[in-house]
Parts: sequence; C-alpha cells; structure tokens
Amino acid sequence: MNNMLNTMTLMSITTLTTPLIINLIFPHKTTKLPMYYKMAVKYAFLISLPPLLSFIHTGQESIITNWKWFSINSFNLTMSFKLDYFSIIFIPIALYVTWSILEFSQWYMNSDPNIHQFFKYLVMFLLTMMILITANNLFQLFIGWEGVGIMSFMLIGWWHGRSDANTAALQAILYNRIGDMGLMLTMVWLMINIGLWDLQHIFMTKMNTLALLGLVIAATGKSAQFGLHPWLPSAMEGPTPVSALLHSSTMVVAGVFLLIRFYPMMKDNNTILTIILCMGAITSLFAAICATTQNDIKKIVAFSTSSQLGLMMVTMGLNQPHRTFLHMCTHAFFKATLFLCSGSIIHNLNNEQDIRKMGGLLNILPITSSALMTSSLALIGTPFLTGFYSKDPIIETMNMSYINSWALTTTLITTTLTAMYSLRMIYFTLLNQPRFIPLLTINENHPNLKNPILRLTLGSIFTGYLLTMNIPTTYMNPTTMPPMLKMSTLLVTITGLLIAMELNSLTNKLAAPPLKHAYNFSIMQGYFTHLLHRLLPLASLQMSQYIATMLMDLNWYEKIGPKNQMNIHTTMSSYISSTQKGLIKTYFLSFIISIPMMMILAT
Amino acid sequence: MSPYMLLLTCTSLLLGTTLTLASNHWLTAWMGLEINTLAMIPLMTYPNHSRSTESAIKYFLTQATASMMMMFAIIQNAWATNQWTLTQMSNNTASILMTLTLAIKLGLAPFHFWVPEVTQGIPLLSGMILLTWQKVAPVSIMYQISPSLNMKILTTLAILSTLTGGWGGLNQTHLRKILAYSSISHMGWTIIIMPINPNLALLNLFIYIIITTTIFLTLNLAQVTKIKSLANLWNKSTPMTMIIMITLMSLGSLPPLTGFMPKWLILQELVNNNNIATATLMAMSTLLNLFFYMRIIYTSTLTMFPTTNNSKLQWMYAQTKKTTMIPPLTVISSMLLPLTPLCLTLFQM
Amino acid sequence: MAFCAPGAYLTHQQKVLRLYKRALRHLESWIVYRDEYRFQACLLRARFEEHKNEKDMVKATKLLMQGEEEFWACQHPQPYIFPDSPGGTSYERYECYKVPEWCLDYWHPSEKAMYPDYFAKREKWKKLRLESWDREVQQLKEETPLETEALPPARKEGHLPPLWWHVVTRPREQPS
Repeated sequence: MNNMLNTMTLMSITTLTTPLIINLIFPHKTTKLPMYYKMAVKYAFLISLPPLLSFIHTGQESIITNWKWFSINSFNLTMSFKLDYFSIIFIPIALYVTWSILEFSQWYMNSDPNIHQFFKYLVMFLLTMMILITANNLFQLFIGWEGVGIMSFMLIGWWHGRSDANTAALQAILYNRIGDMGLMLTMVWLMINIGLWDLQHIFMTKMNTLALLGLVIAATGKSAQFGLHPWLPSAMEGPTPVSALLHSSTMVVAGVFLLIRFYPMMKDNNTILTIILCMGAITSLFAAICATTQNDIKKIVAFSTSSQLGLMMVTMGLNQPHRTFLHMCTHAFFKATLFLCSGSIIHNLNNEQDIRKMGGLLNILPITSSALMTSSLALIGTPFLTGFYSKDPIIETMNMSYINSWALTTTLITTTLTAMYSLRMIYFTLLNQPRFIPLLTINENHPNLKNPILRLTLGSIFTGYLLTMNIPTTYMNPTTMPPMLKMSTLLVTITGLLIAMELNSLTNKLAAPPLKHAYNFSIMQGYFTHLLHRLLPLASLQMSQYIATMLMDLNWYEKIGPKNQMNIHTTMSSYISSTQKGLIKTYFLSFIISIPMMMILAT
Repeated sequence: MSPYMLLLTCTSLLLGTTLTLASNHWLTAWMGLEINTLAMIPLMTYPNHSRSTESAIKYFLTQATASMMMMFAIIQNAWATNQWTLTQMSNNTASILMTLTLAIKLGLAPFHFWVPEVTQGIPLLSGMILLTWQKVAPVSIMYQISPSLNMKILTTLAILSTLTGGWGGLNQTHLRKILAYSSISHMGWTIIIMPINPNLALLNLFIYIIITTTIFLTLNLAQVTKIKSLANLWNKSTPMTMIIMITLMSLGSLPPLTGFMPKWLILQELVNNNNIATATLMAMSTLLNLFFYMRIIYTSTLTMFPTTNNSKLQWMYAQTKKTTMIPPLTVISSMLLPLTPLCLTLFQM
Repeated sequence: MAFCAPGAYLTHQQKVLRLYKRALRHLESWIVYRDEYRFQACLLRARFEEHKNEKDMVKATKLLMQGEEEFWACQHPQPYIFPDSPGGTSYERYECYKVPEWCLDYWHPSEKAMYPDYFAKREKWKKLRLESWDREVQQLKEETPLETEALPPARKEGHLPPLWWHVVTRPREQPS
C-alpha cells in the first residue's frame, strides 16, 4: 500500500511534465499541444485518485525522500515530498479543477495564436503549486512559492500589449515580493536558530513570534489579505481561465496553505493567532464591501475570493486548520465554477464584462445560468451545497468560541454581504431584460464549454458532502447550541438577500448624497489603491531624493568628501607655496623660531 | 669648469661623505660634512649665472648655520660627557640640537624652505646630487646616533615633512621644485622610522636615491624643467615617457613597484609599534604626492598635447647624451619588490 | 478619460455638447435599466433645451459652469466604458499580436508575389506619399507659428484667437 501511495502521487506529478517535455523536444508541433496538456492533467487527476482512496481507507501518510541536493555542515537539503492529509486531499482537487479549466480554455482561448503557450503556462502554474503543496522542506516549498508567483506574473500579463495588463502583472509580483520577504525572514530565522529546513524536524522545535510573523506576512502577500490585497482585483486583467485557476486551486490559496502547513507551530502562539484572526476579519469585510458595488463581473468574483480568503484566515485564527483546509477545498470548486461561468458570459457577450450591460441571460445561457446560480448559492452557504459543509461549521465554531467578538461580528456581517453581492450579480446578469447589443450570436453548445462547467457544478454541489463524510477529522463534531445560534448563519444570509433586493432597486436612481459616500467608498475599493499607490511611492521617492541630494551630494560630496578635500588641500598648498618667497630671511626665521621652541618643548 | 677642477670637486664631494661615513670621532664627521658642503658649491654654480649663484649662496648659508650648530652640539656633548665618540650622544640637549641640525641639513619640514629654492636654481644634475648624495652623510650620522634620538621631535618633523612635501608640490609646475618637495616628504618617511628601526630608514633612503636618480637622469636627457615641456617628451624619446611613468609611480609607491617596498615595511613597523595614527597620517599624506606625480604622468605619458608642426621631428635625430645608466636604474627602481627579503637582509647589517 | 479634451481649443458650443454627452453616459451608468434611463435622459435633454437660445455669452458661460459643477457632483465613480475604448476591459488586448504596418516593406519578393493586387496598390500609395509629403509639411508649417509658443492665430480676419475664451472662463479647479 505504501508503495502505491508514493508511486502514484509522484506519477501524477510527473505526468504533468510530459507535455512540457514534448514541447521541449518538438517546439514547433503545437497544434495538438493544448489537448495534450489537458489530457495530461486529466490522467494526472485519475492517477492521483487511488492514493486519495487509500488515504480515506487507511489514513496512511508518508514522506518520500529520494535525492540529496547538497549539505553544508549539518544543513542538509534533500528533495523530499510530504504526502500527508493536506497534500493527498488537495492534489486531486487541484488537478480536477485544473482539468476543467484547461478544457474550458480550449474554448475560451480558441482564437489566441499562442494558445499552446498559454496552456504551458497554466500547467507550469499548476506544477509549481503541486511542488508547494507536497514540499517537505522549506527550500522546495520556496521553489513552489516563487514558481507560483512567477507563473502568475506571466499569466496575468498574458495580453502584454495591454498596458493595464502589464501594470496588473507587475502589481501582482511586487505585492507578492513583500510577502516573499516574510517567507525569507522565516527561512533565515529557521536557518540561524534551528539549522533545519525539513518540516518534520521544524515541527519538533518551537518558533518565536518573529518567525511566525514572517509566515503571516508571506500569507498576507500570497493570499491578498488586507494591506497587500490590491493585486488580486487587478489580476482580473488576465484571461478568465487564469483568474479561475489563480483563485481556485493555486496561488491565492498558497498563502493559506502555508499557514495550514505551519499550524503546529502557531497553535500555541496567541499573538499570531489574534493577528491572523483580525487580519482575516478585516480582509473579508473589506473585500465583501467592495464586491457589493463592483460593476465588473470578474471583479465581483475576485473580491468574493478575497472575502473567502479572509474567512479562511479567520478560521486559522480560530486555530481550526482542518476547517480552513476544508473551506479551501470546497472554495476551489465553486470559485472555479463562478469564474468559468463569467468567462462563458464574457466570451458570449463579446468581451463585455460590465454587469450593467448584461441581463436576461437566464433564457439564453441556461447551463451557464444554472451553474452560476448553483455556485453562488454554494458560496453563500445554502444548506447541503458544498459551501454549507465548510462555511457553516466555521461560523458555528466561531459563535461558540470565546475569542474575539469583534472579529466574530465582522465575519457575520461579511456573511450577510456575501449573500448580497452574490444575489446582486445573479440579478444583474441573469434576470430582467437583456441590455446587451442584440447582434450577438450567443450559444453554449460547445462541449469544451459545457462539460467543464457541468463537471465543476457537480463538484460544487457534492464535494462538501463527500469530503466531510469520508475524511477523518472533518466530521462535524456534534456541538450543543441554542437554535438561534445554529440558525444565525442562515438568518444573516437571508437578511443579506433581502437587503440585496432593496439595493438593486437603488440602481435605477442617481445616488442620494448621504448614500453616495458609502457607495463611492465601496466602488472605488476603499480608495486604497488611489491613496497607497501614490502616497507611498511619493514618500519613498521624496525620501530618496532627500537622501541623494542632502546626504550624498551635499553632505558627503561637498561638505565631507571630494569637494572638502579639494578646499583643504588647495588652501594648504597655496599657503605653503606663499611662504616660499626666495628670501633667506625666512630660512633663518624658521631656524630661530623652531629650534628654541623644540628645545623648550622637548627638554 | 676645467676637468681638473671638476675632478677635484667630485673627489672632494665623494671623499667628504666617505669621511663622515667612516669616522668614529665627531670632529672628523663634522669635517667630512664641511668638505662635502664646500665641494658641492662649485658644482652648483657650474654653468655660472645669477640664479645658480643665488642658489649656491643660499645653500652655503643654511649649511654653514647647520654646521655651526652641529659643532655647538658636539662641543656641548663633549663638555657634558667628556668624550668625542660619535655614537655616544648621551647628552639630551646636545642630542636634540643635533637632531635639529641634521633636520636642517636634510631639509625637514620647519627647515625645509631652502630645499625647493636651492634645487630650482641649479642645473638638473647638480640638483640630483643635492637631493640624493647630499642626504647620505646626515642620514648616516643620524643612523649612528639613532638610539639617543628624541622620538617626539622626530615624529613631529616627519609628519610635518610629509604634509609639507605633499601640499607644497600640489601647485608647482616646475619639475625640480616638485622633486624637491618629493624629497622633503621622503626624508619625512626616512626619519619617522629612524628611532624604531634605523635599518629601514637606510633602505628607504637607498631606494629613494635610486628612483630619484632615474627621474633626474631621464629629465636631464630631455632637458626639461617644467611640466609643460614634458608634453614634448614623446617627441624627443618615446621610451622615456614610459620610464617616467613607471619611475614616478614607483616614487609614489604604488604596489607592484620598488617604491612600495620601504613604505610597506615602514608602515608595518609603525603599526607593530602601536603608531597606527601616525602610520595612517603618513600614508594619507603620501597620497598628495601621488597626486602630483600623477599630474606629471598625465602630461608626459597619458595625453598628447597639441603642438606646433615644426616641433615634431626631434625623435629623428641621434641622441647626444649617454643613456647607459637609465635602463638598469629603471629596472632597479621598478622591479625590486620581489627582492624585498634580500633587501631586508642587506640592510640588517 | 474622454472628458479631458483640451478645453482651450473648444468653442462654447462644443463644450456644451460634450457636457451633454458626458452627462448622458454617466446617467446611463447610474441608471441601469433602459426604460428608466430613457425617461431621465429626456428630462436631461429638456434641461439643456431650455437654454438653447441663450444669446448672452456671459449668462451662457455661467450656465455652462453650473452644468459642469452639477455634473462633477453627480458623476459616476465607475462610468461604463466600452470594452474596446481606452480604459475598457479589452482595450489594447490584442495589441501584442499586431505587426507594424511597415513590416510589409520587408516581405520577401516571393511572399509579395502571393498578393499581387495589394502590393501593386501599395507601391502606388507609397509614391503618392512621397509626392505629397512636402505639401503636407508645408501646410503644417503654415499653420503652426514657429517663432513663439503663443496662441495660434485666428483663421479669419476679425476673429479672436481661440484660446482667449479659455483664459477668461477658466473653471475652478474643484467646485465647492
């Protein structure tokens, strides 16, 4: 059994590299490559199923160490894979979601001349995520971490002729760089204080708040938590499949995954847990507020991802890594579905992304519409859809905990807002009269469009149930609580739906002045980028200018350095030459003065 | 000057110094110095014109003063200690006075005024003798009485000399003056190490003499006395530009060249004796020297200044002056660094 | 931003028309449904029509200023932008696949031979461009004052230079 677990997991990772190698060997035979990529991911998914089943059956975990990279003194770096609860469950999910996304891309990116390259990037993106998930030492994890960052940069900037896309890509990589600093801080701390990068050894030791803070910063950057979040909505500049992959199973969940990986170190550190809790709460609230008024369909979904990531962070802050992980898995399904649906709508409406110009798609795109509604409902946490199984326990746990009532209230408000923006999106895209140009030929007949959406919709209906029923430690522990608390999630959600109905009717009016400021705050994304992207660069540029001109130019070059040297030496030199007058008088004067003086001083 | 006269003066010059070197009695040592000084004067006035006469008079007056003071110091010493042995300079006042006298003779800093002006007035070869051979006798006396020298005075003189040498040379355009200032700062280097390790002082003097001789011979070959005229050096003899560059760099003590060796050893010795501040100051002030050597190099070697057309053909004519000594001296003044251990042994005596 | 047109060179009429169009676009962004929007658009139109025959330039300018201020206060923070317009979601999207036009000149003769009609025409155009070049430059030179960077001169005798009006009626930086 052990052999099967190890072999098949590695095989599924290796399978992903086959089309990449084919592309290396035959760089010009690109016609069939997209299909190869898709098939590779599909087979990788199928291969990764037996390990999952064996894990469900026996609960067996494993570590594969097969190649020693190098060692410096006692510091060993090996290529080592950790096949534990988290990686064994997440690998099939990531592969399943990516398989659907790749199939969808075959339809969505059909007209792109470089479609094979696009697929290559997507698969490399997935591959780096796999490395990150299975990594058993920090070095390998860092490779995956950086790989995910770089591939997201390449994919967000896919339309590199578009200046906005380039800006967005740069923004993503720069914000992630801040996060990387955190990870490096932790790595360096571990290297200095523990001298080990292997996870199982690290878990046997203790990490202090600074090192854990590094991890939190890393997760903040990667998972777009408040403060480092602006790259996430900007990343919507990438093609829709990219957004789907980025938001469901790779990249943004990498940060959360890092925290999940390191939860044994964090569970005893209250400072860090509180930081994570509050940061998650702020993020989820802020993102939900922004999502409420966005008009770009992809931005709405992006902010909802941000909000859900905040929720995951809150769960981490509650010290519930398994619930976090469960939400991460279920979120992958309905978020991918949401993105594929919006991709379908956008492509059918000829690149129209503004929900003000949609409407009435319920009758024209029935499959997309039902999938969109199902996944939205799953996101809201409708009972017995996927989201319910992960979200409900989280909120219940939170309601039962004694931790931070502010964070809890915030999260409840966020839940309300989730219902609001989801309903708003459905309302504007699917209901009422159409508002788009009537000339479009809209259809959803292509199997490459239909199948992945349907497959993922099935996932977003059943995954939660399947995961919670089959996997140990995710069974809902029967807790006792008053009915009001039990129902609170549902109640706030229903409240949200009601408010959303009222909100939507507002769209037929010019905003009234008191409401306008709130509306502007939300739609301008809290003015965050408008302020921060100008003030911070301005401050640092000004500071560097001052340092350059005052400290370097004036102080160093003029007052202390070369200019001053020049002044001293010119003065001294001309002084010395001016004593040379050719007069014998001066010679003897120097004798008469110096000799007695020295005689007196020296004796 | 008639050949007999020349022979006589040169012999006296050599023998005077030799007498000082060989004597163990203060009177003979003093006598040697006197002979040496007197023999120098006809050499300085050899192409007889007013400038050289002026220089000779200045030289005579300073040297005579120095000799008088020296005699005074000797007598003071003899009076206090009742003996005339050269190495027994045990009286403190006499010792200080002797140090100052020798400082006048060597042209160290507060007494340096005569050096540039005397050098400037006399022909190149006489200048060469003045800045090289004339230093030997005073240094040898100083070497012999080094145990009883006053450290404070010597350090003050040395630092003042290096600084003055550096600063004074900065705004000079006359090569002889520049070399005179260079001599002042090198004498500073020589005496800074005198009380600590006198052998190194001798080594420094030896190498300084070799390098300066090379430069003077090269300049004499081209008959240039100004930096500006050096710009035409390539025209007279192109290899000389390279020689000037290498020897000047060696004089400025750049690492792979001979000039680096004594400075290196002196700095090491100073640092070993906890004189780090002095060592730093000395090394920094030598940078000033390096700066004006670089200026000479720049003019002579690194650039070609615009010249008039009719001055461009001098390299075609045969050299009338002998260049026999220049190549070996250049080699010695640039490539001695690998032989440092040998030189050290040579001067350990 | 479409409404950042160089106001200095516009006539009063152009300014009013642009304001009207801008107002319509933002109204459309606020009011999503077409029926309601049509109603509001008619009201807006009526407000503009009311002062259509205003002859007094001072009054007209004041009205324009009021209009601009009201627009500023009521504008939509995220107005609808067509996907292909500047700022839109697919603007410049396929720019990376475009090849500059002059690359056609460097086609191999054998490649050019595949499209004989087009390249024959192209040769004619190129000749025409060469011929008319001097004339175009001449025209540009005549219309651009070389010596100063002052206002461009009036096109007809007795007209005022186009920029004076902008100087006189410069709007406030931000309406209070």
